Amino acid sequence: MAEKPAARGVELLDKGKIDTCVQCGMCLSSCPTYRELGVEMDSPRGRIFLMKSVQEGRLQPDDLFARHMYLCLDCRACETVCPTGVPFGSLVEAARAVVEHHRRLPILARPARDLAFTWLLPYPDRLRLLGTILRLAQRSGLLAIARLFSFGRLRGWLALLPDVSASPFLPGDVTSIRPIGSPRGRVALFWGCVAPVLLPNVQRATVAVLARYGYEVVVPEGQSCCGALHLHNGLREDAQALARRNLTAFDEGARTEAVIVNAAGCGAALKGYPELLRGTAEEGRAERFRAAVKDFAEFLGAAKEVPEGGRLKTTVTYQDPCHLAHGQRVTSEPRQLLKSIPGIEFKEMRDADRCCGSAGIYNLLNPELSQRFLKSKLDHAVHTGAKIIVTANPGCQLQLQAGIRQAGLSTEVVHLAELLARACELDAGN
Amino acid sequence: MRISPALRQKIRQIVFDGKVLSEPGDLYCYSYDATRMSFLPDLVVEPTSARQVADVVRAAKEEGVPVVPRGAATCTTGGPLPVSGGIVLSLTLMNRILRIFPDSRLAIVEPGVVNGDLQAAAQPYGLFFPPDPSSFRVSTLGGNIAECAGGPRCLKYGVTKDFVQGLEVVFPDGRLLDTGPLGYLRWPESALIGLMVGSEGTLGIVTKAYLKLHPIPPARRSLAATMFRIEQVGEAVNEIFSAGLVPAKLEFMDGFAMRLVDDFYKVGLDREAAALLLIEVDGDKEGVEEEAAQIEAVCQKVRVKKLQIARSIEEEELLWRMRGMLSPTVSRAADIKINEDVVVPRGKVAEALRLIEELARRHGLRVVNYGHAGDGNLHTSFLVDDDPEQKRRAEEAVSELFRVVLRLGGSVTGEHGIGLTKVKFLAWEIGEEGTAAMRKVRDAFNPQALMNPYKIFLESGAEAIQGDKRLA
Amino acid sequence: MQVVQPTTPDEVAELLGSAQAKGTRVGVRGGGTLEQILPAEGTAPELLLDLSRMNRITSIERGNLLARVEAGAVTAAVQAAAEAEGLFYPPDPTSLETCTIGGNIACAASGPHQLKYGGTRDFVLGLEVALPSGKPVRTGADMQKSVAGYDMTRFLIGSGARFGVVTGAVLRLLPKPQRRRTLLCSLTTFSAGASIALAVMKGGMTPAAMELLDLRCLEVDRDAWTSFGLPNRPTVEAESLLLIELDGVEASVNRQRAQIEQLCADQAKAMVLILTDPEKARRAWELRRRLLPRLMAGMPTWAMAVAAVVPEKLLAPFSSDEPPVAPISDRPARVACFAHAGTGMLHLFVGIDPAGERECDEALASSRRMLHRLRGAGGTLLRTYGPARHLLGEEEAPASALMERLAAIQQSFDPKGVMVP
Repeated sequence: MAEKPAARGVELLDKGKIDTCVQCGMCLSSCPTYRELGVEMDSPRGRIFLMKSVQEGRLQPDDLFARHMYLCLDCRACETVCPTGVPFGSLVEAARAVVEHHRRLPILARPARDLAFTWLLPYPDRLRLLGTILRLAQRSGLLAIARLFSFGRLRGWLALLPDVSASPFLPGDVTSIRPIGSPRGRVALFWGCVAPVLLPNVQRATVAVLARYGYEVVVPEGQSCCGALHLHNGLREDAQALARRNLTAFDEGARTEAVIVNAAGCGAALKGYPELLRGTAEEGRAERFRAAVKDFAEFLGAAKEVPEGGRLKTTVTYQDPCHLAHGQRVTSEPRQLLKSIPGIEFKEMRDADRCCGSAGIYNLLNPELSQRFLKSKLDHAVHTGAKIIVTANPGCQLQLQAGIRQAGLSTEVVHLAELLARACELDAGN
Repeated sequence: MRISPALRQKIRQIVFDGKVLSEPGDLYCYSYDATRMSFLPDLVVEPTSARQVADVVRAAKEEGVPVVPRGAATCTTGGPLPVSGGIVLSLTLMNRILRIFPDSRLAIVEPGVVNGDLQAAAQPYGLFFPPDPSSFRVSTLGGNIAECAGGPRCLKYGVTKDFVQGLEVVFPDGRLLDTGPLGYLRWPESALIGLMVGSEGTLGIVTKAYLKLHPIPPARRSLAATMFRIEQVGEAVNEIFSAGLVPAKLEFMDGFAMRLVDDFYKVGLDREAAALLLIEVDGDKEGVEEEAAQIEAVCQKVRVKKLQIARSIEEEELLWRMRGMLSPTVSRAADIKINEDVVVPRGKVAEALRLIEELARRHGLRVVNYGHAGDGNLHTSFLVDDDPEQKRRAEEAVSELFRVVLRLGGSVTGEHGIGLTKVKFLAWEIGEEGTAAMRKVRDAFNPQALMNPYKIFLESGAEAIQGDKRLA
Repeated sequence: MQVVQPTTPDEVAELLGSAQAKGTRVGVRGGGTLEQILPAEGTAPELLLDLSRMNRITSIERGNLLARVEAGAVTAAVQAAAEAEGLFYPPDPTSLETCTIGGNIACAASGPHQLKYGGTRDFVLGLEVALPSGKPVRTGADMQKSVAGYDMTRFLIGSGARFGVVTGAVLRLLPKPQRRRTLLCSLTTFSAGASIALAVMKGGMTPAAMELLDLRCLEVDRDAWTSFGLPNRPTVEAESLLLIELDGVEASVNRQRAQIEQLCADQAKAMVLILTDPEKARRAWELRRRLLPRLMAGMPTWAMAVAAVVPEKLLAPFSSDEPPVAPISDRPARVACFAHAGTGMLHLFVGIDPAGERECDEALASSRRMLHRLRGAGGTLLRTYGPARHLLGEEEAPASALMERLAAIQQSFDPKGVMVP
């Protein structure tokens, strides 16, 4: 076959990584899109072969290529089962970067996405403003009206919004938190971007629980959005810029035990900084930073016990966020923490580590498919009889909460930190 | 191979509610299996019913277009590769478990059902489907039937062909036949079933299967014995059979494999041991206790280096994970892993291992041996660097491996099939008369070999065709 | 018709080759047991190959768990030779005392052990075949697991002599089970027996064999059965018998026995006899094997249908107006029913004395109704035996799509069409 000249940006596709795939097909069992859509192009193996075809010049990174790359949830469940260690997450991210070099988004979509990613997420003050607007919209009833009269995609997006009555809890609101009792150590906290606006109580609970465990919590200034959404949507350079910013902000990390992250997606992104900055001047700093990053559950799970007096009598189940289970291989600590709370009855749900369909902004861009994953997830969760679904990522939390609301169920969805705070009877509103 | 617009149109009409894929990206994604080879098809069709399969097959035959059936393509011998282009007919949309009759231990399934999904569906009834190839989470039952899949449990329970009680088949001329669930009890249906299982898609396409299920044994126990000498594997297996026992699983790995597993996973394996034998017994609780005790006694009699009995589910899972980890571990130990699945009569396992080590040494290659000690099915893997000289020596080593195995009265393939990769070796094993007899059968079902061409039998002109269509 | 008794596979091959060349019709015969119950139809062969002299058990290989035998080896002899080596050859057609391995292979014979182990087709690793062309060929391998090309062994099993003559076989053997135990479960009705059998299967057990016999089956050998301690006539509360064989390690056999006793205890007036003496067990199974000859005894003519249905529908043929109870008298029509319970294979026997035309017509009509009901439940009539078999109905003809292909294969192996199936 005649080879076409390689497309622009194709050098981003790493031949070495692509070649680690031996096409054994084991990934097909864990890929949610393959199980739903049933075609090889929407399986990890197929997507890699498409990338290989682009990389070898046999295929252009056209709209169809883009479609299959963006239908991927980037949940990385395939990485967990892959026998040869193919780094699928970084491959699909590179593929999307190639796509971004080529495609023209619909006339309104690019500015809208750029607005959100470049103008909003990295800036705490603008996020605070967004939070205020949302709170006013909810209080005034405007939000309810909008929900009532919206249709199509917008309706779906609005459905994802949680109760935003609580005031946002942003880095500027606090610089350092003292522990309760004698200090065990000192940790830095990665704040995030959208979560503190939409789920501020999670942040409050995180801080309160860390303090209760005896840690002084430091919130470095100048930190910003981790860049995960940017990287997952093909905006590699933007992600690198954010990474550099965070490395600078957390340079003081040398004086803390760990950098704690309570959002699985952010945690995976931060741990991915060395890969993101490979071959640049900051690679070394990124490696050191990475060594310090710990997910909230990962860090506390090592402690293996609940602070004295903590107890809670209820049934819970746990939803593994993809980027915690597959992206960071942290699965046992959250469960250990939950099971260690006196009074808790823990029920394992079926396919706990299968994607709920949130996947960054996937639920905004592919609502129908996202709903199918969500329905499956809720069926399994509800089947356990648990009163509370515990998770460890804001995207999952919003998605599950929206699904519960839609189905009219009474199950609660909380972040692990919120549950621990509740068990310790900590007022997460201080 | 071109497909006329008229045929494309006809097929789109037939498969109105399935998928007909023709974009370049689609075709690429159906060009490969697990052999890393790929050949470009002209069209990919995913029907939703047996009638659609039959109609597509007939329409294709009328125009002389090859049809290549495909499941999940975890095949390691090139079975679903469209060597001369044509239509890849994927059965993955036909994935319903139609009915389970628990009291009759019977499941009626479509071919695209994933093996693991049948296990999950049968489990609430206290039943399971014994063939457990390592691909069970992905491979389809249609594929399992086409290859006559095995797995560790087949020592006690049998292979796929022992569990197929009936089939619905589309023949290469588009005719449909359903034997019903009792086909295995009557000739000629039993002969058809016997042929179809393991026919690698060259005699027809299975569109429904009536499968026998087995009660899930209430109890099981796993043991692991490390050996001073590799011969002790054969000795232990022999003694176990002599005692009148048939364990559910008898798996082994050689010392090299043990060290590789230990390197990567740090599970504390004995790095000096010559081999590891993993044993599982299952059945009712009382029986399992007794069998485990007897096996313990056998291991002591054979003077194994160390015997470990799993005392909890976690311990048991760890033992079997080591066996399950083997294939990926071995893949990571070299640029290229060349894995063959040869079989020797079970009494000849020790001799086979000795001869294989010797031939690997002579070719200057690293070799790992592991597999199903109980039925003589060895997975011999040559570890090769990405170097043309080594690759050439590996090819020679594989040929010699087959010669050695055949001289011992064995077979060149226990589970993976002949497919595309072993067509040269079929006649080595079964001779010219045997090959001629099989060809007669193939020609009666599949004249001009339009269904899955170039598989199993060495055809003239094969090299040229392969060169022409091949992508990788 | 000329009868020849070859002694080597090469001789057989040569004879076939020359028959092909000359166009002589050739037939094959093993122990002749099939002919006793299924008289041959169609044109007789001109040359009959009698393989009874090729009856050697060439070797029993302990290490490889296999036996190499000639086609004329008698099944019982193979079983005994295996047991002597601590091994086990499970296929047990009821005529095993006289039928040959070659004959079993020709008609894919099976017996009570079908339930746990399977039949002839599950225990042949490979065949030595003389093709009609005169060339010998081997199929299969010395191992259970081999997928090099098609399973020609399974293709040939059951095909008679259509494609060639089996001259030898490599048989799969198992280690001999440590313990065997035979149970006789006497039950009040045939339905009760069927229910117990189903309960045994549902309980996750798989006995080595489980045979269900009705009242008539017991009556034709009543004294022999009662010698075990079973209830005697005229007790109408012991109308069926479940004959069960359990095997495995001692603890497992005991457990299964206890489970079965428990199931029977839930049935009123059921009785379980455990035959601990191996000699008694052997005799019990011998009684089972001579059932058909005993049913045939004294009947001028007879017919038997062998039908199959999914096991849970075993009672489908019977209804309120056709309960599975044999008529009290066994003349002029003798009706009996027995089954491989658990596998779902039912045998309906009708012995006919033409002197009692009315009763015989009724019996045959009733049998045909039962078969009809069985078909309605998804079952199938596998084959009919006996001189009067056409009175029980036609076996379903196999699909033409399949027969055409088989005819084509036959044609390619036997162009002159000389092989008598």
